[in-house]
This record gives sequence, C-alpha cells and structure tokens, in this order.
Amino acid sequence: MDGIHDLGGRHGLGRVLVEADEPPFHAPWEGRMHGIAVTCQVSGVNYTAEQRSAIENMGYAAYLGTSYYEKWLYAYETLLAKKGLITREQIDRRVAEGSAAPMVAHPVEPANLTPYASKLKAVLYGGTPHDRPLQRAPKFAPGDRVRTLNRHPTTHTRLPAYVRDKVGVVMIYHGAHCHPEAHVEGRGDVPEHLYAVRFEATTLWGPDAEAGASVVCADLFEDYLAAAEGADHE
Amino acid sequence: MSDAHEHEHEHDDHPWSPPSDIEARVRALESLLVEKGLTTHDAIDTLIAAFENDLGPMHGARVVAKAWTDPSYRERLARDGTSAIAELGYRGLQTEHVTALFNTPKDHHMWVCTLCSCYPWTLLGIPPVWFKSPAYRAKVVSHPREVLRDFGVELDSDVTIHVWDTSAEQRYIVIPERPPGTEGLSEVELSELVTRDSMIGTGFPLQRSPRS
Repeated sequence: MDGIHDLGGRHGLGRVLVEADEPPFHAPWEGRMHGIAVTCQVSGVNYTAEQRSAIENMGYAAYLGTSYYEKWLYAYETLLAKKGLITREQIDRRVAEGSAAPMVAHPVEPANLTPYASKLKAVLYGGTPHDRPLQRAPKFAPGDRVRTLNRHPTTHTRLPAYVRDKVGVVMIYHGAHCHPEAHVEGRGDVPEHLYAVRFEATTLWGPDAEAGASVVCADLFEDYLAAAEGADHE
Repeated sequence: MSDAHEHEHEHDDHPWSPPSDIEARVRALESLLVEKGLTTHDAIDTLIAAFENDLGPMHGARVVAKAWTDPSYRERLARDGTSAIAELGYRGLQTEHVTALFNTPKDHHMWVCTLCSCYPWTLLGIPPVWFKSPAYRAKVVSHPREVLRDFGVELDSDVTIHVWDTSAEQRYIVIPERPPGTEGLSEVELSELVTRDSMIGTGFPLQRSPRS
C-alpha cells in the first residue's frame, strides 16, 4: 500500500539524530514487547510480514507520532484481535485489575528453561530461513536490465514507491524466498526469485539527484520486474 | 470477532495513540498470551537477556576483523556471506541470509530499510533508534551524503556511494576498509576498532584501539 511507512525519498523529516551509548531497550516493557513479537511468530500466530502490514495500516499521524515498540504493541493488539485470540477488551480488563509489580529490568536467563523457552532460544539462535526450492528457473541474471512495474496495490507490497517504473540492472540473484505478500494474504509459503537491482541516482531523482556519485540497490521479487527494452535509459 | 471488528473501525476513524501506562498494557498482553499457552515468561526473559548480554555489534566486528586478516575467509565471505558468518557461530533470527559489502577507496556501501526497520539482529543486535527513524529511512536513498554529514562523515564526490535497501529478508553487513597503521594488531584488537556504524556504512572504524 502507498502508506506513510514507504518513506524512501520523502523530504522534510529533519536530520538524523544519533543517541550515544544507546541501550538495546530503553525501558523494560520494550524488551518484553520484542519478546511478545518473537514468541507470536515462534508459536505460529503470525508471520513477520503480517506484523509489518498491521503497522502500515495504523494511520499516518499515529505512524509518525509513535516509537518503534509502540507500533509493535499496536500491531499485536490488532493481529491478536483479528485472529480471534485476544481482544482489546480482554487487555483493557486485565489492565484495570491492575495487579502486578513493576517489570523487572534486565531479567536473567533462568538456569532451567521450560521446553517452550528452550524452543524460542533455539529459534533465536538458529533462525528461520526464508529461502525455498523453486522449480521454475529465474528469469533474470546479474547484468540484465530490468524495469520495475508501475504497481500501486492497496495491500502489502515490498516494492518501494521510489523504485517503481524505473530501469535498473540486476546485481545479485539471492535465490527464491517466501513472498511476503502471500504470507499476509494467508497463502502460506510461496517462493519467488529475489534479486538486488541497482538504480542510478539520476534514474530515481532526475536532475534533483544529490551531487556526487551514488546508486541505490533494492531487493526486489521477480514478479515486480519485467525485462527492460534495449532503448531505455537507466 | 464482532468486538474486534467494531474496534477496527474505531481505530480507522481516530488516530491510535499509545496508552498512558504502556508497561501495564504490555504486561497484560504477556499474561494473556501465557494463559493461552502461546508463550512463557521465562522465554521472554531469555530473549531479553540474550539481546542485553550476548547479541550485539561485537559479533559483526569479529567477522570484519577476520575478513581483514584472513584472505581465504574474506573470499568465502564475499562468495557466501551467510555461511562464512555461520563459521564464526553467528546465525539466527534476522540473520538467515546475509550479504557482505566490501568498501574500497572508490566504493562506499550503506544499508537501510526504507519500508520498515529490517536489521540483522543476531549479528549486530537491536537496531539503534536512528536506524528506525523516518529521517534516516527517507533521506539516505536520495541524499546519502547529507545523511553522512549528520554523522560527521564527509566523502569525496568521486567516491560512489552504494545504498542498499533491504526490502526483503536479505540482510547486509558493510566490511569497511582496514584502518592504516594497524598491521601489528591481533584479530581481537582489530575487532575492537570496528564500530556498529562502520558496519552499517554511516561511520568508519576507529583508528586506534580504545584501550591504548
């Protein structure tokens, strides 16, 4: 969808502010929120792509006005309600009961893990690869010129707006990976060939490209690409 | 489901704002997930402890230092980043598919996730807030030199900046150039020169050991 999350090339957002000696989590609830997100994925509640899609739908003002982990809370409240697992009213009631003590900062790993904690730790340290076998041969190879499609779906996509309908050159073939659109649409693992495609700055930004040599390489699925005709300029 | 449906409309019409007591709400959510059998408190404790005590940029720094000192490792890293990184014991969530980008005197690499905040968690740790900020994500693809100036970095205009947008599940690590005058240093000493930002491309390694 053409939402506010699709930020590449937007102007007016100010300078990049860097925090010195930043901790992984700025408050105990941020770490627990990170754990909740990973746990939901390990337990098969949702794919990462569904979390991203939920955040993309939170609205422009909310998106720009909230922190990273506030967005995650929004995403999981929304996803868990949508899937009929936990409603916002249940969370409201639990908050109103107002029981527990403050969260422990910097929890330690217990000496004896429950089987579920062992499983989550194994996933954290082992990963969940996204590549899958695909019989169909890749259409493109490094060096090929391609044009991205001019697509504006109202649903989840990983084709950023600033690289649509542009001619670029395939730099890397990454193999076939699960298509995130299929994950969001409930179609499960649907592999598609994935490439890094290079675009010249002047192709993307025309005469307003920043002075000095630069290029952008974006990772794009094969169904976002068509062969570019020879006469096209990059 | 009707409750949830009504709620969605409510949220469409009014901007969502974070709850005033967000800690209470996250705690409530966690306790409900535990009751549903979808998680355990010790699993979440374990994840936090891992990110606070183990997973961080020092892992990526070891990869860089080995690439500086071991030509055959550098070659394997260039050919298959994921496998070469796994040789050092680093793999895991958001580090399943990694490509190493090698800086040269004429090529400077940087990476960003313009659509969200993709980052190799188990290789570099939790991403810094600036990496997730709209300012960085918006600006680095169109004005990489302006972004570098925000970090106090200036590059000659004939150095080509390659900005990699991690719009799928492929993750990146920049292998910066080895600083001059570090010939006598061990791999461990070299790894201490490698900063997080130098592996994202918004900075350079330190010139000398922080201990000396």
